[in-house]
Amino acid sequence: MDNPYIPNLAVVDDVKELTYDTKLFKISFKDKKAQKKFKYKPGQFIEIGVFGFGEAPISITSSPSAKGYFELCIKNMGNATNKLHHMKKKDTVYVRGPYGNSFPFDEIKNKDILFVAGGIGLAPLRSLINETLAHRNEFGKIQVLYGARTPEDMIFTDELKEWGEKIKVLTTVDKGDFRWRGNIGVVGTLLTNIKGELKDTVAFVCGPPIMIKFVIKDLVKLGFKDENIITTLERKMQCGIGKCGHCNIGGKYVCIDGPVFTYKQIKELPEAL
Amino acid sequence: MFRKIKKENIVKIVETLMKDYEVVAPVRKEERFVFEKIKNPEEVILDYDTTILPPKKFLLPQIETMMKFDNSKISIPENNKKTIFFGIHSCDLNAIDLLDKVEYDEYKDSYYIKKRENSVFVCIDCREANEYCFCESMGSDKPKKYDVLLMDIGDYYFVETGSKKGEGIVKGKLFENADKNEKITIKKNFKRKMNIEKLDKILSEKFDDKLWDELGDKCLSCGSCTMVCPTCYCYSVKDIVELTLKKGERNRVWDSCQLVDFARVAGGHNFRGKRSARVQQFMYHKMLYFMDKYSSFACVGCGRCIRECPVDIDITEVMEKLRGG
Repeated sequence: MDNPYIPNLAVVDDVKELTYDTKLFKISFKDKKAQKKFKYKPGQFIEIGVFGFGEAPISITSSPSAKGYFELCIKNMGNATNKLHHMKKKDTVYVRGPYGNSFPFDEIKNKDILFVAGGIGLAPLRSLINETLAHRNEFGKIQVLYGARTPEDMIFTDELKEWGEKIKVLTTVDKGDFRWRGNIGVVGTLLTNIKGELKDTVAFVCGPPIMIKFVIKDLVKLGFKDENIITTLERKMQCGIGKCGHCNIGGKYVCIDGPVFTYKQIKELPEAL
Repeated sequence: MFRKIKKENIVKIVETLMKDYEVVAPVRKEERFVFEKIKNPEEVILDYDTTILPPKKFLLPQIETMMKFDNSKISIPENNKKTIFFGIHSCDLNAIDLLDKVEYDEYKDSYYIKKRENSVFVCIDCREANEYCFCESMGSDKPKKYDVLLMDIGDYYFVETGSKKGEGIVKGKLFENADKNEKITIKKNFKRKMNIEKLDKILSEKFDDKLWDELGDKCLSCGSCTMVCPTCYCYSVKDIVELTLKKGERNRVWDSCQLVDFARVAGGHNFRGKRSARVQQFMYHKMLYFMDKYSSFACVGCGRCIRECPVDIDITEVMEKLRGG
């Protein structure tokens, strides 16, 4: 019988510092067959670990169009992520997955799409943003709203600029500094600038729990349908395969039944937000 | 075909089984009983009331090594021993059925399944309900799957089999043929009951009831209820390393939704920081959430959580209060 807990050896191909506490890791499996077999969709996550330091559930930030490797955007938060932050090119890590459901893709074709990201919540959305941009003509209007705590906390700033040449991208920070000339305020304040037929627009919301809560409230007020508001729930997903119990909400496990849920589903789940 | 075995021959059959199996059976521990690996067949006690911990501790051990690592080499501990659970009550056996629902679902938990499939269950029909038992209310007073079932009929145990493995065991000389009329079924007297009618509806409506705050004030978050529960399966993963950081093992250990850190994520947000939310999680998971996912209550009415609670929180009483108030 297969043992679902055994991770695969993988190599750090590259590390890029995105902010003072967040790094982008380019990773591939040591075993070429394992790399070929590794197929994922935007919204899914993996468990990445270093023996002795445990594992952490991290969403995949690259889009499936990237071949031969995948990327993880990791904030230094705990035991495993701190260890990962000390890793360099060619160091080895252990990965299992991909796990979880994924963002809808074929279902949202031809629709207007709004991405609302807060902080590191841009990481899982980046996978879908790049995937929709790779199939740009199959989607309607695409808009990205991104908020970070301070300018120093903003991730993927170069990419935000690149996207801005093709689609509408608005950014904001909770607290500016002397260089910041842009918007100031929580990401929800950018919602006044969005355009389009909002009742048919599909919104993807990712960020800290408190931000998700408020943005969803705003979206509902703007006329978004509950089933068109899509978010990911954060929980302590230790096993990733519906066994350890930490991510249980109501009759669901976030790791296998999620992490992607519509607001319509979330309303039925006690204490989800 | 039915069989029976003289009570005095139980020691002999356990001795025989010990040749092929590790025998796990109830033994006395001071005033109470516990399941243990038997070294001496004389220790086995079949007339016992609920053990302190359920036999799940052998299928989902408190600490279980998942893998060992040595530089980049991973090795998985082998475990091929056959175990026979001798004298397990129907509540505890039915609880293993519920654990199966989780561990065999979608991703198969290979550690559990390996042990589960190397196990044989000899159930003993328990004849007396203690003051905490309410297995009848949960439909758990009769075993659903067993290999062998023993029923006390005086000088003998009446024997039924439920599987090929079981038939193999009762073929031996220590067993005699029996007539089906020799079987004696009794109706147990339950002091404790739980009304499960429309419980899902009641729980859905009473999520914000003030009773949860009262229970939150009372509960000590000790986690005893989950530790002694035969259907609780949550665990945490811990790596243990040698000082070189090169060698060590990855273990899983029992965890409890009652402990404060259970739903805390990296960065500090705690989804169940309030004690009331944690008590509620235990009871809702047993009585509602598990039903949503696996179409069954996650409770067999063994009464252990009531018996062990240091502040007398009683799930049957809580459900009744929600129904009434």
